[in-house]
Amino acid sequence: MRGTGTGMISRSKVAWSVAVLCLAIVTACEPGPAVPEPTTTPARIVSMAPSLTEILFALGLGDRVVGVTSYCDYPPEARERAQIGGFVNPSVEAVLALEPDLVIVSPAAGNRDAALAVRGAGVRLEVVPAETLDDTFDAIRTVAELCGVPERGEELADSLRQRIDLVAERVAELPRVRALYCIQIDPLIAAGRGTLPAELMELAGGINVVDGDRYPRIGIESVLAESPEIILQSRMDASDPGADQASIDYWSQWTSLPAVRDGRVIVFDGTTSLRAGPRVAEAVEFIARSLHPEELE
Amino acid sequence: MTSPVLKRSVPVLAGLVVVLVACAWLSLGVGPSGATWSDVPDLLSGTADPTTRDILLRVRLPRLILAALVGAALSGAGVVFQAVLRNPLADPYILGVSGGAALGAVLFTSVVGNAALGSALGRPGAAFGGALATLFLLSLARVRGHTEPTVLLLVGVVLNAFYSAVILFLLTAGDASRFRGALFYLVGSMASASSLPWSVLVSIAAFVAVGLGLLLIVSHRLNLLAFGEEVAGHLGVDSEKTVWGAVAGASLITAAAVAFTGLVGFVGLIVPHLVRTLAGPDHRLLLPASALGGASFLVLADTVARTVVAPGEMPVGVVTALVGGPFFLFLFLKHLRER
Repeated sequence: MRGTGTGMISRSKVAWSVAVLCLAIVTACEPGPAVPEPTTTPARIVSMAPSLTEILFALGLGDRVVGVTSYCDYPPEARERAQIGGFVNPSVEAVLALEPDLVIVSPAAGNRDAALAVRGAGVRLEVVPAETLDDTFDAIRTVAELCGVPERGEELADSLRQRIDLVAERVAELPRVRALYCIQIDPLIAAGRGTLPAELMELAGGINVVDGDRYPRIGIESVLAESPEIILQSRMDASDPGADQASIDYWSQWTSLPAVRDGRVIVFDGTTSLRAGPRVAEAVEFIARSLHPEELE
Repeated sequence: MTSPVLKRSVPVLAGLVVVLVACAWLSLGVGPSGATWSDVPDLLSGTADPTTRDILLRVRLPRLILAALVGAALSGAGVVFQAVLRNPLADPYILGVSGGAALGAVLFTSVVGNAALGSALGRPGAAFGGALATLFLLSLARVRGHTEPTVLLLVGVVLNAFYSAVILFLLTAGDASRFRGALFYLVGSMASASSLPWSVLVSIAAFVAVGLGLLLIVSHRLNLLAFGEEVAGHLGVDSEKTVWGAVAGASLITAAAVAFTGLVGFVGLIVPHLVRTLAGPDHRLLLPASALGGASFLVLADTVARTVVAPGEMPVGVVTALVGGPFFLFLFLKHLRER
């Protein structure tokens, strides 16, 4: 059964259709919905990255943070904020529901679409890269500026820089230590060239034994051949008390590794060195002490 | 029976054993580190340095043994599925039997955990259960005693998609950081070999040996199935029993292969087809020849997987799929033309 009008399309209907189509084309050519200019300092901030969450709290802006990712576990207060999903798979809907006046995101594989959707919905979104050590200082300053407290950003960035420089100075004369930074044992994944952990290890007086880019999946054979003197094993699952032991058990079977023979497999909280945030100085200090226990104690 | 096949089997099998030994020798000497064949004499005399010793005996050796076992199992299973279903495109991976086995293994681990002995026997056992359940589902596609080959493949595609989704869910449970590990299992990797206890390798070897042995016993009946079950019946073969026995044996070895290494695809498709050109269609020869060929193939594929992107590694399933995908397409088009 069809409606009566379908058989004969009137001239005016055609005209209307053309008009609507033209309008649609014109609208499509215009830039996306206008993003409101920042008039006041943001009061409802959503962070879409664990590193940015840490920066916000370190700048004393924690009470303005209304939403974080499910990986944002530091500082502990961050856990009390509403969660918007994972770092690489956030929920746009959850972000919008919090009615934020500022959303900050650090580019990562998988979160680009969500970030664009947030911006598309008319919410102010700022992209703050937070991957390398240089990024860290920039990100701290940028976030502080966005939130109207630029002087706090300068202060925090400078103090971190000083702490890291101090470590670099103290290890400058010490022999460099061949180190592996392992983030997962099954499958084996380590920090390679161009990553924050590798950068921090170098500053702390280490030599990264992994000769691959980013976070490569490596074979145990390569590790045996490179014979690291120390293995920094990032804690895999903080909620699972057996996880540390599993890492230790895994490494202890490779007794030909100098690191294993000398008892230098260190399981630690890797989030300090994996996140380009305010704990990078703490991470450098910790790694330096691990690499040179006698000289720096 | 002194058929020409048996006369031919000696040179064919001997040749394939030589190929397997050559592949194993190659695999033992090649890797991202400097350890190589020239270290073997030191190793045998006990004067090798501990690193070289570990690399050869605890990294490469268990890995090539695991690859050989898995390759033999998957190829043997491929031969059996192709015979029983009278379908040249059947293979445990494509049919979803591997997927069912993988799901069984993953379910076992998420429920029971990774207790040493329990996992050496329990994980393949659970995988066997998953494989049998898949066979039951496939048997539902049988209409009036006949199964359309393309229908079977379609059911296999759906089952694979479903199993992958459930496995991904169980392994990651919403935690994106575990995604990479789960992906390696779904594609199939031999990397776990170097940290598996020897009891697991022994268990896999036992499952594969028993399964292949059983299949070898019924292999002459598989020949008769090629004429169709009706004709086979006239020739005195209880086809129902033969089919079920063969399929159960094939599932057992598939399960043992998949339980610890994940979904390595296409081995059961590529190898039997290549070996058939050499050994002919008689299953008494085709089955053991394919098992040997499969072992060589997977040892070789895994050597590629752990060396080409060194110091990184690829899952071996990437290599087999890169070869197997085009091969499957070629066979499928050929099959369509011949109909």
